[in-house]
Amino acid sequence: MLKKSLDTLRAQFPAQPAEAHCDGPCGVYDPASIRIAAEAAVSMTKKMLAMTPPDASNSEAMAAYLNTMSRYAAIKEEQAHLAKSELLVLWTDYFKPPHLEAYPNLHDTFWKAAKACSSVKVEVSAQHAAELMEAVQEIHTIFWATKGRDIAWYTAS
Amino acid sequence: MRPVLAPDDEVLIDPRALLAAGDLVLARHPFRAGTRIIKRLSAWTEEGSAQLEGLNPDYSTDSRSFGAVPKDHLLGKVVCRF
Repeated sequence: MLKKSLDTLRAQFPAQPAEAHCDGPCGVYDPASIRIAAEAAVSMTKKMLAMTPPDASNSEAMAAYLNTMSRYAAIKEEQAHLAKSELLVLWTDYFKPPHLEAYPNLHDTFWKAAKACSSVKVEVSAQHAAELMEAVQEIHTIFWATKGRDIAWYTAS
Repeated sequence: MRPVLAPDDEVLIDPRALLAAGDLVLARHPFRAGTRIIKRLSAWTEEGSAQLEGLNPDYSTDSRSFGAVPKDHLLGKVVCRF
């Protein structure tokens, strides 16, 4: 009876919606930005490991070698740091306590990924580069699961 | 605004009610035309604007980010929930 009268009221005086939870400025998040930076840093690691030093007496070749190596190192530093910044934004801005309940290893995953960024930045390690990509893939999987979307993992390289 | 309000809850607004700190209020969003928000009125500022707060500070975008809301943006008091 009460429900019926309420339904009648609702039908006669339709109410407009109001937001009780108004989200942040843009709300656009995608772990792809982490992946792209991480891939670049990983690629630089591989290129550095693949370089063969020239004969030390050939000064021109040595200069070119050092120049190339320095450029790879600089890009590796920059992109690994960018990957870490992007990780932190996603971690601290997008993920909320209910996500942590659903994914109890969330903090550990991000921490490992951020640590892997640091390792890739500081070292020239194929193993740590591979670990970074694994961590980023894990974050990709968790992120899209929280969005209820099935987005396949892919890499550009 | 959990745990007081859940998505799709229907509420009744009294547009003439006197608004006091602690009330749930309906307000126009200061920067987003057409968006109306429900927040808790935590305090009136000295200038007579309303300090609005979500009930879940970890998630809420409220006066901490958009500042105090001018009085003419307040549309009424939430008086009951169906």
